Amino acid sequence: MARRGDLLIGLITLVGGLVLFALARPFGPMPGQNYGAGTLPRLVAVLAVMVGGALVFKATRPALTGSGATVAEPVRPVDRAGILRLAASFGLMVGHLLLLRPLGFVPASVLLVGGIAMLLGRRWWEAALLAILSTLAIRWVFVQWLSVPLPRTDWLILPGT
Amino acid sequence: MVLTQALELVLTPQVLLVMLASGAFGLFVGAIPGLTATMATALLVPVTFFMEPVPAIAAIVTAAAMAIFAGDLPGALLRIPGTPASAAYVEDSWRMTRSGHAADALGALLVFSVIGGVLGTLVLIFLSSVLAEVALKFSSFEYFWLVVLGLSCAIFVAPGSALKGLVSLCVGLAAATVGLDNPAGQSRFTFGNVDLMAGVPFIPALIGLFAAAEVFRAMLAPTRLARAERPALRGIFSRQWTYLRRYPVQVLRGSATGTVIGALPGAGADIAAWISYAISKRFSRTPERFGQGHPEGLVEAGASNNAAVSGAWIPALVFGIPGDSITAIVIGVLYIKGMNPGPTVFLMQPQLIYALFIVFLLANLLMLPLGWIAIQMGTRLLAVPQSLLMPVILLFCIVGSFAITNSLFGVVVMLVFGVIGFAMEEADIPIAPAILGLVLGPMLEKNFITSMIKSDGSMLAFFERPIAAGLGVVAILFWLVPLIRMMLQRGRQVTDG
Repeated sequence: MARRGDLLIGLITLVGGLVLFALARPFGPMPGQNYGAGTLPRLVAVLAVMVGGALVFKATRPALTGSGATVAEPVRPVDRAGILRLAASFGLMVGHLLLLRPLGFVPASVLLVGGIAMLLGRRWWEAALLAILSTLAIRWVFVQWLSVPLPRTDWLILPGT
Repeated sequence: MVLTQALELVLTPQVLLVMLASGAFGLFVGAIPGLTATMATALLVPVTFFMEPVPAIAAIVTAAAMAIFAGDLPGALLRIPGTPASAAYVEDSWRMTRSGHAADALGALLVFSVIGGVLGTLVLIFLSSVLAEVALKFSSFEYFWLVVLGLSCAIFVAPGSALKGLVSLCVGLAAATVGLDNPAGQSRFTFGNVDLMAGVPFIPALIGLFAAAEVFRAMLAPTRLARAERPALRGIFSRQWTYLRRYPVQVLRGSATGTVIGALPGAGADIAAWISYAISKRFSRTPERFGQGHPEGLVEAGASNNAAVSGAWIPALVFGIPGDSITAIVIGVLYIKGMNPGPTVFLMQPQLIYALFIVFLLANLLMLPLGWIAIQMGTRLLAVPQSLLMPVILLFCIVGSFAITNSLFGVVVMLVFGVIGFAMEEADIPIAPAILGLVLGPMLEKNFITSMIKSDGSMLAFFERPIAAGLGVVAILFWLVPLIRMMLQRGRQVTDG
């Protein structure tokens, strides 16, 4: 039985290898040598093409040899709520990244932790309490103890700022 | 006489208190995803300026040993390995915790790390000069094959098919090509971004592949959010007697492998742990249980992990050549304190060298009580509902990634690799080969190109030196034997059919 998942992975790997090979073409060898910056990327690209090709062959061999129909694996039921949670969590992380400098570490992180906790089913006040306490504690550990220069919030006066 | 002087230098309240404090510090730093043993060591250096040589070195050695072990704790409790070496056995340790055997898993990681560290230290004390001579014989050819062996081990021991393991390796090696760090010194795939010139930092990538991906998986699957029962921890140590009686060969083999590989400058615990895990699986009577929550791999690779830390001191003390980033930092501290590592220190300041050996032994033994406390505290986390724990872990990981580069670049890398890791796991592609490819890719490239230049393009040169030939044959057999076995099996099936 062929696996459509393997077919897709194989195709992606094969195409990825070809793209890497194309991107590595501009790199010439070092002066007086046959090797240079393009050597490893080209080797990885060749490996990826071979592996991708092998996966594609393995996935389609039963169909090619006529020894079995191409059958998809049993489809997992799509949990729409789960997918929305996943998208929202990704959005929260991207938002956190974008807001770290403008807002500073504490406000941005409170929003992130609170948002993730609410997505995981906590009530808003539990999420808010968790977000504030954990953010302040983590900030204290990293800024006060480990001297990590986390993005500051000018309008928020905290110890160590 | 020298030994007595050394004991007098070490067994003072100041040194012992410093070891206790730095051990606790090392455990704390090592247990947080994103913070590393190297970071713990580097943070202690300014503090050691105000200390005498022996307490200064004692602080750093103890912190490093604790931090290396502590990297196993988040792996077992949360499936977030603290180091690439811990990733070798994270599946087994995590599954053991999940199935209610946390005491066995954590106890094995602790006890066999201590045993590996002590055995490695004994080798350091009695055989350092011999091993150092062997280490000096390693050229680019030997290192090339060692890296190939390490990467091959990662592919074959990772769960799932070898082809998917290779896909994962390609992802890691492709990421390793980014940056300026290549023999030609040319900027590769940086697209004009200054941060990318230093390459893809592996700690944020590791955090992303495991931790961020775990958060994404929790979002998708509500059943994962059930409160995890706090594991029973009675008999953390008692069970280990059983393992010691059952797996004595594995303990010795892992310690020996770790010490020898750790003694090679630049090789390190990452390669040692993976090779040990692969050897354990290869020679096990129950290889099919590896990756399903089996302690045998934990015993051997856990011992190897800490033995490699001791092994890294061999070239450092004998020749002044750092075995890894931690010993590189410590060599600097040794110079500041007036101890010049190398052959002369054994003649001019033997009492200090013996004091160092005693510190190494004590640091590994101190891991037992401190590790026990860390395990007790760490497992309390599992009683916290995951809906409360996971957001906090995520924030720790983000800040840890930020701390690596002191910029948002680390966080971006973490996020990107989180998406990649999530997609890989959904496609049943193992993650660990990607991490090892990222970590060992530059070493593979450097040694391959150096070797090809030295040999004028001749591949036969990779087999001309005896150690290189031996490693090369092992690496090739590693790939050929399963293929030959598969073909023989197919042939038998055709004959029977």
